[in-house]
Amino acid sequence: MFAPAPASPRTSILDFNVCCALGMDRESVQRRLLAGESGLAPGSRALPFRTHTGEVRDELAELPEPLGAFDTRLARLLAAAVEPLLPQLRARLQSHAPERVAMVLGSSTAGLDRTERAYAEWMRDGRLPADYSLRTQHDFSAALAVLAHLTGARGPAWVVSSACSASAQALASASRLLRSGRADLVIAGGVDALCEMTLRGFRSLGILSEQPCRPFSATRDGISMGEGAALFLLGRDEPGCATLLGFGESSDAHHMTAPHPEGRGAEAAMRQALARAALAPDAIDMINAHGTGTPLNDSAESLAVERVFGHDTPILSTKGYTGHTLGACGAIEAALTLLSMQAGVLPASLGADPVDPSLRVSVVTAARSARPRRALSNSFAFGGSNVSLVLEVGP
Amino acid sequence: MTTRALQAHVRRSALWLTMPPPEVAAGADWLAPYAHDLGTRPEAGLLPTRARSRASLLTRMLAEVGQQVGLAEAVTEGVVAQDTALVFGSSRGEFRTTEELLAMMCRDDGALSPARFQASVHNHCAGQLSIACQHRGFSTSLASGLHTVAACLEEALGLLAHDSARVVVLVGDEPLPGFVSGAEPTSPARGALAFGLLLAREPADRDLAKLSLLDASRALAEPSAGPDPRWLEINPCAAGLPLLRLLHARQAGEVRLNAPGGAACSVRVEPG
Repeated sequence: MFAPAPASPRTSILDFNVCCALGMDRESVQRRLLAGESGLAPGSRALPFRTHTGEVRDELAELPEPLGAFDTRLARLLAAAVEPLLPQLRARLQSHAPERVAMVLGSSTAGLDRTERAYAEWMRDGRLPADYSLRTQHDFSAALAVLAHLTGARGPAWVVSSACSASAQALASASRLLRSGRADLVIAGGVDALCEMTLRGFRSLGILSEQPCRPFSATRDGISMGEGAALFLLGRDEPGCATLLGFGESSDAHHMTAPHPEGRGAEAAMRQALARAALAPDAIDMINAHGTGTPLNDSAESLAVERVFGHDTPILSTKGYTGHTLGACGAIEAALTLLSMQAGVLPASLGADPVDPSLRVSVVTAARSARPRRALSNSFAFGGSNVSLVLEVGP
Repeated sequence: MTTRALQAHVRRSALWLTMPPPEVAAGADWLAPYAHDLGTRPEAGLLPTRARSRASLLTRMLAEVGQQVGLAEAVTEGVVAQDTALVFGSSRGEFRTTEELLAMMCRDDGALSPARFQASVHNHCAGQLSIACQHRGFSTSLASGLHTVAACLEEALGLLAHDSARVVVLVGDEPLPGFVSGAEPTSPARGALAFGLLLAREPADRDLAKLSLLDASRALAEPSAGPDPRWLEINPCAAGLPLLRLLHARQAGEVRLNAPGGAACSVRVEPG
């Protein structure tokens, strides 16, 4: 019979890394974030419409030889994100059995960009490329296999694919694994790569902006898409660089692609996160919004934030820096939030100025020094999935 | 804080699959009540008419087994939204809908149907059933290849241990699109499968069984039953069949929920 360890509501963040349009490591990303430099640029793909994307423009290293069959852009992003964490992971595997190290990732596209190219070739030539593999390149589980090979982890492993809340859910799921005692360490986070289908898909829904996205702005008109990866090494009851104090997860039960107009589901997720963290709203120093730049999301989210926090808690969106990284956004934005707090800065919400006067929240339009110690980070998704994380840095 | 064992009480189970008759007849008689001819689409009465007419086979299957295990009733039974959690699992999700979009991208100007795009997301069924049942609590959608069933059970047991009084687990996969499977429409490789479980933290009269997660040292030992590789080739969610067989037969046993090669996940089944 399996009995879990005594429950602990707080999850230690032992280490983390992030790769996105701002850079391939924490230091580069933090530097550009604090400097207010956007990673958005005109899209590099040949499409019949204009858009700006948060494409990772650094060259992505090839995977090591044993992982050749798994070579996709997504796998390379994942490998780049985990590399700085490997020394600590390998040290910890000296004292933790590999079966006690779990992996939980969030992703919405998996290897879709590879499948797009393979399908086009199949349509043209009547056969798939010789080096195309459904199992090692398309499937969600391929990312887990890559991560297992690179890290040596052999514990419970899964991918959460709840669209744009996926990697925030992954962090919450990881916390549950630790709390139940099924794992002693969890490598958790998210990864998504740009692909043509999602660009065209959001365009078809009328929510893809031709300009860099402008979350909370009076002139916002849609999202900009991005890509990247963020990974966290999570533990239980030991000091780390930060703490996941709590999380909240809810469903809108309203519409497949539009949020509840009053943000009721978002409100429920935020309140649950605060309750799990045993914190009052005024203990939160900053809010990283989902803040996509669509009229509906930013309005609904602002209403929810106003009801929970009032008007004064600083709120910002980082999607003006990275684009909307879909399934990876929960993890990437949690990382950006931690980097901001570690630097003692509230970064500007790029593109927000002039702020929509109907939004009665305190949007950060210019970077300023502060001492944010606790933050709440939101991720809301198609299908009405809502996740809020409460993060803390420092003693 | 009180330690809780990772266990669940199975209130109800459901299974829906399509297999050619020879596959059903070949030593798997217990599947006959649940098997349908290839090409059959389930009723999926839980979905509103318009959503049902557009729904993929996967979404219809998950909705069908969700209805059979009493998803709507489980949602309304809870005092608060978090009382009932939903865990969806599929190794490949809405891949056939994705194929439609891939074909659109290769035509004319490559414009996509917004309705089909939103139906291609992995958590499409989760969203549809959340709306249909007005479920506002926790819902997740998982994918883990051949370990998808194990992942869903692990997540569900963790939720029951600390957060939710009930968890509805719905797992399924539809046949692969033709461009990757190369299979003929009547091939066994075209088989679809979905199953559902209504799990509860506390026991009740008429429970089917109690499930207990075996710890890693026990799980690594050879269990009495594991997924049949032939079934897994057809459908990764067939990893749940050994468990469902014990529930169907009201038999005790230990079953492995995933194929060898991953972190072992096994449960002990004790009939109610």
